[in-house]
Amino acid sequence: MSSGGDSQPAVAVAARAYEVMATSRAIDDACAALVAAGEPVPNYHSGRGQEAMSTAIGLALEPDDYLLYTYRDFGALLAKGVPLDALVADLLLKEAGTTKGYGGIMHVVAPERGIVGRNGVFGSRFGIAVGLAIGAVAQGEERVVLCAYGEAEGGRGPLYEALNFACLRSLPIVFFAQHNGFSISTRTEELYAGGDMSTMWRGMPLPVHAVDGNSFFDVYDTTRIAVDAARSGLGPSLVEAVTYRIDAHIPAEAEVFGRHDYRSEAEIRAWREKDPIARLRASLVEDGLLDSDELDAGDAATSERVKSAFAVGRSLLGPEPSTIECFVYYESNGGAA
Amino acid sequence: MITTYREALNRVLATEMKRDQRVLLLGETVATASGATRVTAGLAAEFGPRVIETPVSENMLVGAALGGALGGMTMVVEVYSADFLLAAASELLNDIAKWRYQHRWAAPLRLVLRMCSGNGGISAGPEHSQCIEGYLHHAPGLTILAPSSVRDAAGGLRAALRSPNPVVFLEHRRLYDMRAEVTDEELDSLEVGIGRSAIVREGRDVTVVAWSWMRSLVERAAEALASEGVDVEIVDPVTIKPMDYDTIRASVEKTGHLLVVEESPRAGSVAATIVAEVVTAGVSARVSMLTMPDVPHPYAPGLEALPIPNVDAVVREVSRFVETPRGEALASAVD
Repeated sequence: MSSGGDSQPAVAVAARAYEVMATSRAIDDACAALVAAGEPVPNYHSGRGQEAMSTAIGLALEPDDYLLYTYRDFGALLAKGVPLDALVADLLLKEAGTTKGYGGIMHVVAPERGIVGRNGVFGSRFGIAVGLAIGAVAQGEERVVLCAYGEAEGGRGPLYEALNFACLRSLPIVFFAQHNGFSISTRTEELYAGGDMSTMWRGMPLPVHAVDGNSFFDVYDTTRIAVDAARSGLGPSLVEAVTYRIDAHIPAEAEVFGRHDYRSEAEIRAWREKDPIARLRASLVEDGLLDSDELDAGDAATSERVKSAFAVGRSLLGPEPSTIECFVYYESNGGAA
Repeated sequence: MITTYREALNRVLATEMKRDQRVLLLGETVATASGATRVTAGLAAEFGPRVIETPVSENMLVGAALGGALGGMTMVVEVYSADFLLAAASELLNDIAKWRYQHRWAAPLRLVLRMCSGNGGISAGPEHSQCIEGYLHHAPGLTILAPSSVRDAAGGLRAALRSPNPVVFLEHRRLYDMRAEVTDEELDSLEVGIGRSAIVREGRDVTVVAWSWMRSLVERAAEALASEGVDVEIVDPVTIKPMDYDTIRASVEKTGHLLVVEESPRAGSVAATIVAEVVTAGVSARVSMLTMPDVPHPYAPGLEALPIPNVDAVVREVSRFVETPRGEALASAVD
């Protein structure tokens, strides 16, 4: 592993990364269990297998850097400081969530953590990233915008518009392509000329990095390079992390899409063997940074914490019907219903 | 001092940018020229990097308006023509209009998308002539202003810039050279109340609702009708959304007749919504709409003006109208 010169911060980052990744995995386990028990989790999109990539981008940012997250980014949201309880309440569309039950996991918001929300229709985040960056520069702030996106969103033209303008104006944006193999059932190589999500941009005047998305430290170190460059005025970068979506696009994939034999069990099995959490764990043990007992104890605590968050979350109330006409326009009373 | 609609807009942009460092102006040709309609003249020289010229990238531009506003800036985006805003419909209708609702976003979202709209009588055809308020007024969360006078251009733009809500600001192509006697002091303090209609001419016999370029036509028609003894009351909504139906309803209760004039195809028009709001409120009145038929704007010079309401058409419709006492109208409506 690399990351930083002295080992102490690396240990702290690694320990935190492991905990966040395990928490993200436990969220997927909890959601899967609910769905299996016949309790739907609306708009839930699994992040299983993508935890290293997601967690690394969250940890590579400063608390007030902007993050435009994807709906599988439990790791990034947790790493950025969104509390687990709030995230669970969002997954369950409860009033205690970050959007008071109105946006759920699709629109997690935590402005004090640089999370200004999420666009629900693919494509507009690239322009939003440009606007956030323009505002930060205009105010003399050294804030960076990390704009994560998947295969589907990267198919939209606004990515080109934003890349071009970010290069023209040296805007502090990290365009972060989350290559997880698919847009629903269509393979990445069937969607992007060049076969992946970064080759096609190599003609543009910005650094383009491609990394192993299942290696926490590869993603973290590369993202830090891109973030530091943006912060020091060197302009935008593009990072592509290659990983794999282990679970279905959505839990009801088979029912919704009918035919869903777009990949083989053998392929999924092969990627399960590259599991990013097991991989980080092995490297932590091997390098003597944490021992197996500590990690086991941590895993048990994480699993307990997430289970209890879901148990509490399920008992919470959804938004009050009386609030349905609030927040269409600015509320001068701050939105107190 | 004589001021044009264009000069009033320019002065408000300059004074508001001076007053508040957070105001940024973005758009195509806004620095190297003066934007699409010469409204941004001199601003790049005065405000330097706060005037940001962009490629023809409407999705990026309109998305950036939202991003900047989320970061606490006041974003003024000039869209080169109202028709082009439709290229960024998702940014506008799925994101900007709904951001506050879906995120329970409590802070102001200050962004103004300003643009020229409407038919300019220059054979610009169906993609450079549209009034787009009919497309947009369906979207909860949007504020739409369409000023019809020099004073409302100044007061409307200032109100838009200071509003905590996203505003689509529609400037009519035929109004930029409109002139009015306005002092600089007035220009620097005018601010319309968003969501408040104005009765711009009082009358007894018929209420005509019109805005933007159509208001000018209706004012001329009202003069002609006055000489025939018909007393027209004109209501200019100024804010197309959220609209002040109370003022319109109160006026119609007084006159018993409502005509709405709109430079737009009929189906789903703003006019149709106004009529519906009056009728379903149970106001006893004869109602009518004068709009374009459901056709695009033709290019050819000989055809261009034909689908658009004109002064004669307003006079004819009002004359036909007021001959019918309101009880009779309702009775015939029941037939």
